Amino acid sequence: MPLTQRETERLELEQLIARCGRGDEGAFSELYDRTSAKLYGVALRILKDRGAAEDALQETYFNVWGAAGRFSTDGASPITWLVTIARHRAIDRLRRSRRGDNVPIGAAALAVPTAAPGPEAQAAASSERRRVEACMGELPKDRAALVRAVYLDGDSYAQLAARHKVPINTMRSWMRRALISLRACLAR
Amino acid sequence: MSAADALGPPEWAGEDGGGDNALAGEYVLGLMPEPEVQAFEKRMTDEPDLRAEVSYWQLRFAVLAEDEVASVRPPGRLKNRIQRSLFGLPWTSSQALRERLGWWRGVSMVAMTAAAAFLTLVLQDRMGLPAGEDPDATERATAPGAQDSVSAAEQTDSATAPARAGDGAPSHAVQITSAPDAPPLTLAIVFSAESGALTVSPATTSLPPGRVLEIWLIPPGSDAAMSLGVIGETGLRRVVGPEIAAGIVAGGSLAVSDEPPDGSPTGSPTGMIRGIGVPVAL
Repeated sequence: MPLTQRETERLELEQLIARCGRGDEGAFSELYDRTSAKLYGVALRILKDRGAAEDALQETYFNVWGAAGRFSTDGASPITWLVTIARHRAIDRLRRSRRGDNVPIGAAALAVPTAAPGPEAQAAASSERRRVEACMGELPKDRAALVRAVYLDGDSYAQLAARHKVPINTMRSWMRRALISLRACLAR
Repeated sequence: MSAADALGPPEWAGEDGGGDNALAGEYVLGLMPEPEVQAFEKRMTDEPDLRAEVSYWQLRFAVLAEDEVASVRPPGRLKNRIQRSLFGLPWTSSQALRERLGWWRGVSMVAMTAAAAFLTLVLQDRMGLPAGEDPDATERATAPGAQDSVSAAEQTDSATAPARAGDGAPSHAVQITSAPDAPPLTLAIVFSAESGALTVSPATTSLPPGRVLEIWLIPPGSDAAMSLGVIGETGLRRVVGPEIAAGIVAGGSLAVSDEPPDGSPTGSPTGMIRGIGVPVAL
């Protein structure tokens, strides 16, 4: 059975990352060419500022180069891994600019994600992909919007609470209920 | 609204039936309040299940970004910037160290020696120490824990003043020559063969965000670099072991590279070599 386009891309990106892990600068160049638009899009969506997004993208690729040797092919798909790093770098930058200080938030949360146990993570890369979208679709629209606002735009509880004119703890209850529903759906 | 609205408890686990699943989700989303984050991360180090739950959410949320965020082509110059920062010199971690440092072999030894001698005069003048006894040596020897804070306080006088050498007069100085194509790097290093005290001034240079400078000894005739430590905002001062001391005295090279915040993860330089120099006997 021929590989699907997505599977082919996954394999190629895995090989590029593996070569980066061995210090191959040519592989880095190709990896950048193939993934930077997606990662820049992620950073720009969160930071909403081109200069800041460029800095976040630079940090992202520093991280990628430094951690490529530890990327495991039986864990997250390469693009998932890259997107997660890009989001972390962008969120870290957003938080620092919001607080006006240099204290990074949750060092471990912003760390390069480690590969989850094999089969579980493999599932996340294929059929779970459709499942995530389906389960997001099962959430009430306004709650799904909350999750997206946080993950894709980097909104905080305080921002969401102000926008929806509710106390922060109410917002937190909403979000936690949304996460619990989402988790239950994903586990079905 | 629920009681939780009035004043959030520090831990929500179990309150709404979400327990660790929802906590991990909040953590991955970056929504968890700071005090809870610390407790949560402490638990993560001990609890594999919690780490697995964090990975679970990371992978699934990433799907949203993969599928729903529009790609935007970054400006072309950014790729150059990133590559120059990572590989500013024609070297990679797969090349022999000797190759990476090829550019430096051409630097005139005479010029370097002259520069190091001059540098030492400046340092001696500014620090008012070296030539003979260090008047504070006894006092510091009795209060070793106070050393770093003392030297840090002294440095507030001048951002470029080096930390004081430890016990013993400096016997060697090193003039660092910036690597071509790298941002200029100014750094002063003195070493005392008598005590093994190595003193590195704070560096003046520009660094990519999230990078630090690490200093290395490449012993004569060797291709392997030995880390001497990360150069912090107040420079670096330490007493080196006999092997490193011998390498410095024998004329090994001292190189400076940029590395991740905790220093190179591999034990060898992984970032760009920013400058290099040889110790000159005083």
